Amino acid sequence: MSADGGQPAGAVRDLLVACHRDAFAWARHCCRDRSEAEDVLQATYLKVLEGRAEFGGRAAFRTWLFAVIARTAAEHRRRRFLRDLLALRWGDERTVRCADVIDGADADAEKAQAVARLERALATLPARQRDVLQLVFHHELTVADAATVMAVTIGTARQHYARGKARLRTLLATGEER
Amino acid sequence: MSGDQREVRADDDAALRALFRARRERVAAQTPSFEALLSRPHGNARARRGGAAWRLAAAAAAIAGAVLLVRGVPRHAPRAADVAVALPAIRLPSDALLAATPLPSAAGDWSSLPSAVLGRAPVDLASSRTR
Repeated sequence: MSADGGQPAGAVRDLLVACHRDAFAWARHCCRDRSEAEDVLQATYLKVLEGRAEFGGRAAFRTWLFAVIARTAAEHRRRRFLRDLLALRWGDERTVRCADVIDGADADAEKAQAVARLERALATLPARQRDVLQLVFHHELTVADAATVMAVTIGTARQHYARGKARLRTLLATGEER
Repeated sequence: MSGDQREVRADDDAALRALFRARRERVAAQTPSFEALLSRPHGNARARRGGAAWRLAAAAAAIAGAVLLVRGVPRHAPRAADVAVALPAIRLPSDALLAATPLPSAAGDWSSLPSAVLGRAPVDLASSRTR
């Protein structure tokens, strides 16, 4: 079993383990809640380990893995939307996302509050801006790599990055994120 | 929001990065282990319920389709005789013209037509030539 036709399964597994923490954070960002993030990440790992997603070596392994996670999360979102539609269930994703974050703000008071504020501010940004900021600031990817993960041109990614960063600063400075 | 919290506001990339770093530490602490994640049952209960809902919806759609197919489509095409019976009932707009201007041909009286002369007895051409 191999992920790219040449790399042994053990090596691929080692790469996944090395990226696991980052991968979970990115999956968590792409999904509505923790449970969904775990589903998405598990599905991604299975795709890679079973060779259904092949690493072509055109980007760094982590960048490629993030792109696979983003695609898998989008598939899950589509399925969830249709499932909710069938069950006549309507929900505000942003509300759930914020509520989840606020619940998670634990005892570590000051830092947790600052992080919660950041989360709330991020939640008010458009999805693309939120994605690029997450990739650049949280995962420390370059804007070019972020563009690869988001499947957009580098120019588009730069635009989202600049606008998102400016908006985030304003929100954090004025406390409008509340 | 208190004053010291204002201090952590992002005035430059470094401040933003510091905020994100704190967030990263918090998320990292909640990360499940690789093995635990991979060995958990595939998909959660919600997804399985979703799968069941899909199957139920597909079955319902199939039944509805079958009922429509059986009841909605005519069992046979209309017979030619039925169509022929229906044709005389058709009245064209030009039928009114025939009714308003009774032509001799319509009345069956051909004598008034210019071509009625063709129906007379032929002139005896031989006798007229000898005279």
